[in-house]
Amino acid sequence: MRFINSSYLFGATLVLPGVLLLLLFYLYPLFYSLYISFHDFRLIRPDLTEFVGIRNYFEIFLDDEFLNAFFNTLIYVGIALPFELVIGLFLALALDKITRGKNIIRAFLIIPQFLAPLAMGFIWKFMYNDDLGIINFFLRNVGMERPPLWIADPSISLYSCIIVEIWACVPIFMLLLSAGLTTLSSEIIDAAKIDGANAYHRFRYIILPHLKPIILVTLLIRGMDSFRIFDLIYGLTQGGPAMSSDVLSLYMYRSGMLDRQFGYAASAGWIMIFMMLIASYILIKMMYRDGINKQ
Amino acid sequence: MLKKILFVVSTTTIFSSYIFSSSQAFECNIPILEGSSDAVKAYYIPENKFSGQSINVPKENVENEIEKACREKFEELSGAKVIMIEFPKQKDMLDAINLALATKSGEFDAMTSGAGGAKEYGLGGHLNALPTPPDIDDFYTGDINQYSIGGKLMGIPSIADTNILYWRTDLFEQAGLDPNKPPKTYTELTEYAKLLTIDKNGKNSTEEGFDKNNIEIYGFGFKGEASLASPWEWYNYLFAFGGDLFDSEYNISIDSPESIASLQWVVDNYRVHNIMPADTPVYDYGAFHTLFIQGKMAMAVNWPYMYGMSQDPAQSNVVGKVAVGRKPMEVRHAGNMGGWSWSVLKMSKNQELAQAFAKWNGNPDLASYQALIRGNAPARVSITELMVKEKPIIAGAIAENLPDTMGVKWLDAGPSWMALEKETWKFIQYALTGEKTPEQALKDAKVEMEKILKRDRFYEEIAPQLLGN
Amino acid sequence: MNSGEKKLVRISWAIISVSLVIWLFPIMWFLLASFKNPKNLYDIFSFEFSLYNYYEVFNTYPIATYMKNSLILAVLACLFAVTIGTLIAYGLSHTRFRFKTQTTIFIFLIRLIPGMAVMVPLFIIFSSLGLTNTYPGLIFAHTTMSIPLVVIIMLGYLSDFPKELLDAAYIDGCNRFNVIFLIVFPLIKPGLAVVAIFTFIGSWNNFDISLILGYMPEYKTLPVGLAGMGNKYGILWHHIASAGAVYIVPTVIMAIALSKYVISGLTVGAIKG
Repeated sequence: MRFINSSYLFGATLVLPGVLLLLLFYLYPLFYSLYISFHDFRLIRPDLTEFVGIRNYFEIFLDDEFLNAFFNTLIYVGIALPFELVIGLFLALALDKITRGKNIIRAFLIIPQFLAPLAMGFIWKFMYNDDLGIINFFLRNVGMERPPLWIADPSISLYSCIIVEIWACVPIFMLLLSAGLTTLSSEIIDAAKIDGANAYHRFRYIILPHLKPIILVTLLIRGMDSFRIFDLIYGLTQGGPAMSSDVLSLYMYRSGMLDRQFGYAASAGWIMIFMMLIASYILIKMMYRDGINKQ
Repeated sequence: MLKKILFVVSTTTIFSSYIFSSSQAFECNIPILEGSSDAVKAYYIPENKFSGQSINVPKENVENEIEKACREKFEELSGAKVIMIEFPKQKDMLDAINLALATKSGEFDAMTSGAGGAKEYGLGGHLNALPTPPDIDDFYTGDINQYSIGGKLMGIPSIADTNILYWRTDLFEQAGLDPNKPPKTYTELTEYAKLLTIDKNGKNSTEEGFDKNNIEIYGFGFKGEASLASPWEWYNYLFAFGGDLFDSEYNISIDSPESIASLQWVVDNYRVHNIMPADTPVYDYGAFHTLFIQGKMAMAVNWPYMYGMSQDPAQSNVVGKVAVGRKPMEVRHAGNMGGWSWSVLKMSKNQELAQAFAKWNGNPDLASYQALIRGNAPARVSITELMVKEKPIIAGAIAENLPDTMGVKWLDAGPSWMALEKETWKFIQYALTGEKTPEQALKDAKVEMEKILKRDRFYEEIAPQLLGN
Repeated sequence: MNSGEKKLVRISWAIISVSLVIWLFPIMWFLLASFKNPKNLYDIFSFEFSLYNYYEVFNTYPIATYMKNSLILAVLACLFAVTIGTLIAYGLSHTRFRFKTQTTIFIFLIRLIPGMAVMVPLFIIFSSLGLTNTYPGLIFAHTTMSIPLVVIIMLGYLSDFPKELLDAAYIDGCNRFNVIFLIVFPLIKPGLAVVAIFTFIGSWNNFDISLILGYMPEYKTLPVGLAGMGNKYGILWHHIASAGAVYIVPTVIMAIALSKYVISGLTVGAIKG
């Protein structure tokens, strides 16, 4: 009896101090920004700040810049994630077949992760440059007449950013999926082989289900991170040209810092949060539905 | 094993950084001040009564050795300590200042800002005016005007700045042009640029069989990036074509025929004549000056800093091949006016010391170092004369361009300034990428800008102050 | 191994080699660039070894300070976040804490918060508490930023933990705290290695929070310093190249050295199906 009762306290001692830190750091700013989002908030002109209720949330959808950033962000996440998953899975499967040097290779492949997204943006911006960069130099040498203007062409600048995002994050997927593959016991695979299952069957009915939880967790985490992407695009294109690669976090930064429209910035932030909530809810539902308990 | 590696790596890095850093050799002497009248000395030289006190000063970019030495000289003369807080870019510095203003943290004491900063913060009521310097006539009137409100000086100029024309004498000769005769008008510049744009086979852009996908050297360039770079280059062309941002009553005038013509000129250079790099819409200063000093741009309009860079054998492929001079005209000779000034923040808890430091940064010796050693445009007439003697080439070019300068009136709009600049680079980009015609882009932008000014109550609060001047 | 298998192995090696090139090429390229003269930086084929860039970079910027700050923050954030986070995760999985579900959901939701949304309020709070530009303030910020990730990952490890072991330990007379430190910690060491790496990277790479909370010269971290490497007008690529090399080399060495633990950590009883 005493054991069970004090277990509550014990649990509390472990959890609460840390959670308190989190509350201080995240909750107060969060509510403050909610408060700001209900105002026409002027940082240096408090006399002009006035309460406007949820007007910001409606008005913001009339702002072309916001809509543009909104859809760009959806495209960004929507394309990057599946590619990262597929390529990561592909690499993990390939890596699985290799007998020696797995660890070193995995270590090498994760090196790009150590580069800050901002620096990554600068480096790729340089590589994408038409006159000074290496990519178009290479393309010209293999005979391409007019290599694409990766970041200067508004119709493809967003996709050039996506390419960098994929480049940066495939290693994460590969690492986690590869670990997942290693835990798959070889007896099951051998048994399946004996039963006559070919590579495709093995993949679809054994490997994929086994990896499902990892896939979902990684998608969740990476999805939320890429939804909030900032440094990378800031270093690469600054959202240009002509707003073609503008994303929500850049919009928030601009409307807050340049336009001094903190009310808009805050409401854009809350709209982002809301959308990510919906997406994560869907993903988590998928996890729980299969009876696999994350906790 | 792991710990050993970590230890070795970190100590090596830290040691090597100490080895590589040398002690800086520059000494900040003040010969000019020492030879000046007592009134001037009293204004600029701080009294030695501030010992034990300190002030915080935000700064954009890293302090160079001259700035550091002169700050230390100030510390020596005044007894106080000046803590320089370096921010990556002016934008970040201004963000921090704004945050400090908003939270009333009283954290910063004196500040430096680019053209219009003094006016913006002054109009917002965040600055305390500086007393009129006894040698005010040594400063350029345009500068004093851009930093004053209602006759009161809000910022003392430390650097003036204006764009100059650069061109490659060797390429001119190769194309059969006289290297001593740069283009006189912008229309002429386009014609020259067409002859100077050379593809990999040596053909220029007017010749038959010109391969526009394999250009080796570009006739001209433009910093088209979505940042302050593009508007500030465009203003040169806007003014030269006879246009302006505001008219005399502070109505927005970017859709005047002259303005449209200036933007059309830039866009045609890029899209029709192919004399600019294909990547122009993302060209920032870095890419621009790199292309020039690597030797791939025949002419350019830029701030004076690029000249020193282009003559540095460590970085440049065009040493000795660059000439500088007056920018072309179209309807008139005109260009933008940049510059930096120092101001005193109202929130400072140490007004006297802050003011002393701000004034110190306007002194003639500092101006001479900034000009003669760093190659910036001199903030003072007397220093220009000095510079013409010591660095005739660059000083001559700057001197030729300084009388042409016109203020960038967006800065008069106070806090709305940045939002207006943002709309400006947006319309430049829409026009460059061909998404809108220049005329359409300008008209749409004007609508947005008027919304901004209305929202920020410009016409009610700020314009009257400006017009009453 | 039949020939079909052998072919698969060969294909796999081909794929892996191509991937190594794709992922390491940009890194190698700018590492090489950092050792070139700025004049030749853009010439693909010329290479003249020169330390000019490093000399300039070390002379112009206080790299030692940046590195020191980044290291201190990353290591401390790592230690604190991992400890606190693991304790939270343990509390959420193995005890009868009353608000388990709510807390877990709260922690998951934190990752949704865009940095921009909280930047201004955060600055306001920190500056009114006098915590801007101080080590305690920065450490607090870096630690708290990483805690959610630690909790999420460790929850995965801890939930697979065999309860029988714990019960056996109780029966043997261990009190609750002993159980944690003597039994649980050692067995999830691989998991700890994983979160350690992630928190280290997260803190090492962090830019926006470090910028707002630590802009005084003595407190800048490497990414913040990196952003400022240029002149008034824009970034100087040759500076970024060598600064970037300095930035990445220690972490690379660390990654290779720790890779053993990370990998084995991910495999042992980890995120299983």
